[in-house]
Amino acid sequence: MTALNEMMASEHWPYIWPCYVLGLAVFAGLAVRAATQLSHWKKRADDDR
Amino acid sequence: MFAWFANPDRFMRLSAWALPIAAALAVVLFAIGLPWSFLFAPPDFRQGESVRIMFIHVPAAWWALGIYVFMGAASLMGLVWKHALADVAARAAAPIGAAYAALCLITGSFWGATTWGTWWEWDARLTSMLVLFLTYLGYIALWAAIEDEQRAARLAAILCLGGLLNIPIVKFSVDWWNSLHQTASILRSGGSAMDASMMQPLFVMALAYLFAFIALLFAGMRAHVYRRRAVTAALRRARAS
Repeated sequence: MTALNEMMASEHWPYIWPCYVLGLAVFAGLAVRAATQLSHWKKRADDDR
Repeated sequence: MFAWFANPDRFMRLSAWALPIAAALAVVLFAIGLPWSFLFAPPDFRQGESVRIMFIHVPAAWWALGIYVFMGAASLMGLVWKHALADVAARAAAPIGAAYAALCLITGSFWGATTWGTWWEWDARLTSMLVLFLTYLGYIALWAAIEDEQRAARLAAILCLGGLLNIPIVKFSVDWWNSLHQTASILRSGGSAMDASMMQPLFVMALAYLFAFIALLFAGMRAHVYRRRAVTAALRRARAS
């Protein structure tokens, strides 16, 4: 926890955490988009068979 | 080998088990790499804590370039050998590459703000990376704008191959021009300048980005194959009625 406290106290902290939040948001967004498209088109292809 | 993979039925069978494996590997690698880079990697002696931005920024930059090269190879195969899945692969890769390029640009901007004291400079590296991002967007827009898929695939492939010219410019811009951006510190002659305590989490994160790309690519390609099947079935029904 000391390392985290030191990092949060540093002048760089306001620039560090948004990058990690953004990284997680990008991958979550890509995963949701891929899953949604895949399930949509799989259902359409199965229904049309 | 590429001809073997170009068969859509074979690809669907292969990706049905490869996709969950790649996704699981990405999740495991992120579960290791994120806390390692965020909490346990040491601060840099010069950059201090801001070096942690690098673990998000650098793999995004590497794979934004790598994905574009992959798209270039797929486009070439689509144009020359007419492989059935080549244009599908390039098309499915483009939004992932664009997201990686955007992540690289934004996290780089945060790093620049805290290290250089500026969010943006019209520097050769930053500008060529922005051009790469815009090329991704242009490629996606071209696919969306043309209804005839064969024509769209051909024109998008030509655009993609033209955009490949920018890849060496991004890579070597820091060597060819005076740049605020640092020169290569890992892939360079004379070996890496980075300590193992930072290199290890960086490679874990780079592998996580790679497996995430593979899983997302397979999911995107499967969706495109299903879409083609659905469209073909709808056309067949329309002709019969």
